[in-house]
Amino acid sequence: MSYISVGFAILTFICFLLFYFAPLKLKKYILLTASCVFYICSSKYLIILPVVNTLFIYFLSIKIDKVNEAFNAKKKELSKEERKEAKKQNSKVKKRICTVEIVLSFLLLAVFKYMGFFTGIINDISESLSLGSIPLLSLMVPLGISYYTLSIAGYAIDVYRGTLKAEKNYCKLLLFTVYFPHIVEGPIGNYKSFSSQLDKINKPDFETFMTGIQIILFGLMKKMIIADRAGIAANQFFDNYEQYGFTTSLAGMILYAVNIYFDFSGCIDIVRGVSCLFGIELPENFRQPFFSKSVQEFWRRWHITLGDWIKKYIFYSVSMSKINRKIISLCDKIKNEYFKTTVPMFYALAFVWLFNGIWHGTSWKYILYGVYYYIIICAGLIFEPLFEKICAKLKINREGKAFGIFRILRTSVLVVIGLTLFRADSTYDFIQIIKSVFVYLDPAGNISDYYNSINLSLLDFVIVVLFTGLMFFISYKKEKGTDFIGWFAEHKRARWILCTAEILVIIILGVYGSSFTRLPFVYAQF
Amino acid sequence: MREKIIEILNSIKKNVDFENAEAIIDDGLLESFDIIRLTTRLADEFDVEFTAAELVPENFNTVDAITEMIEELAE
Repeated sequence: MSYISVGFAILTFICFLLFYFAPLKLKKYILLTASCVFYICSSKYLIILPVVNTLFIYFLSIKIDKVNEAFNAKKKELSKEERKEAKKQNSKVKKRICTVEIVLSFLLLAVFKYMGFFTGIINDISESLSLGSIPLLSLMVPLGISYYTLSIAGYAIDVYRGTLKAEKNYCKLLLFTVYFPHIVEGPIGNYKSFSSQLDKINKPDFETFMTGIQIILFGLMKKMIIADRAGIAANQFFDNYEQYGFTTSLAGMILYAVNIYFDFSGCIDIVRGVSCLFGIELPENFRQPFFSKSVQEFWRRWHITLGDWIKKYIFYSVSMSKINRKIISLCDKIKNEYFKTTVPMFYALAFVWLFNGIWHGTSWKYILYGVYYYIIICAGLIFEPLFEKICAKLKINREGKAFGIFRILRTSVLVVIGLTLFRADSTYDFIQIIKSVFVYLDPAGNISDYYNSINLSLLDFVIVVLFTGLMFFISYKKEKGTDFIGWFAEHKRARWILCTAEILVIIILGVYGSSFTRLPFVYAQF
Repeated sequence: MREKIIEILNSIKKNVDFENAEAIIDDGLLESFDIIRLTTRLADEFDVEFTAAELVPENFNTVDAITEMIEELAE
């Protein structure tokens, strides 16, 4: 069931009515029921997977809590030495339980999402050794498995680290796993925040309701007016790239960047708005990413919850691991203070970007996608002192406006190249597209052939350009600190006019109807 | 200990008033790379061992919080 479908609208409407009139105690159970209905409509009997996975995590996390409680009760009676030893033992037991939780969750993910990929690798190896091949195993992927696995694993690690108490109510934890607004494309949940909001859940007031509606309409505009049009044009280019030259390739790459940004951020707006109707604020997933001055900053503003998850559970864990501490002590010999503390990060960053690449999909190009960002970020760290010296010598003001714009453009170029790799059907296709832009430089580029082959009119392109410009202006104002939601909350008449205008714009300019096949949300496939 | 922590913080990021800062992490004064640099330096200086569990914003938002965390780790 898509977030842009009559079925989803009906489900949300019924759920909202029941939620609104239900007694406080029952509200979270209504959300849980709606989430299960949504899941069953999309993945049928596979709902058993998140249910069982959550059950395991639920029991084992309670076990970790009990181990902790036993240690805390005992530790006051122990001497300092004994306490240290008991702490070590306690930590070992907890680590064992947590490892079981994580291995189990990721094993399910590996079996259901990556089995085809792994079988393919085994076949490639065995065929090269003339050993024959095994049948290709590819199972139906359960809805949102990549997202809920991270959410529930994050919860398990937080309990293990002691930053969160284990949840005693299984239904509450299951709701966190399968909550229908965030199950398909995230944002990846944080249990602490989700749980505290569930505890305070109440009848939504008019202001919260209107905020939700505003965010939903904004997301629908992004998806139905910009993303779906840009997606048609981008797909035409990527499916036939070998026919086109420099200009078309550049246009195709930019159109895909426009498509994926408005598709993903539009979806997140819709689900954040829907969740707002139930009084639950989902975390922000985008913060004007195309205003980033570096690739690192881009990843702090794009798919924020994935970046946060990887930072919290992979980057910090690997950085603090025994191996990394050994690398740190080896690097102590480096005299330069900057490199002494920077080089050990390359080890942790390798895990970060490998994970980021693999998480996105079951193909080598996604691994290369992670490697691409790994190289850029490491190169940035290595050359940072050199850049500083060059800028000082050329008297370039690194904090100045002109240099800031240069950095934004440089980051955008790198990101668009990264997204091309992300979208291309294979690594070979990606290389050919990049060659057509940077090597062949054929300015004629058959752009008229490209334009004629797309099922879009000139008006469609004008709409994409105008609305992208409008969204850029809104992002720019947000970047400068304008709080649109807050402003419209104070100017109620303007809000009514805005909402009415948005509905009309979606009806008139949105792409829908029997002649149009809606492109599925890009990130729903991960 | 407090002075030494401020000195280390300033060696990682210059021109920041860490002493009076109330949300070092939440305000983005230190990023994840800086935190790893900071913990490496603090571990050397105070002979303590950090784990990933300590790397939460609450432990790094103020100089007092950092001091308190190191005292606890040293126990």
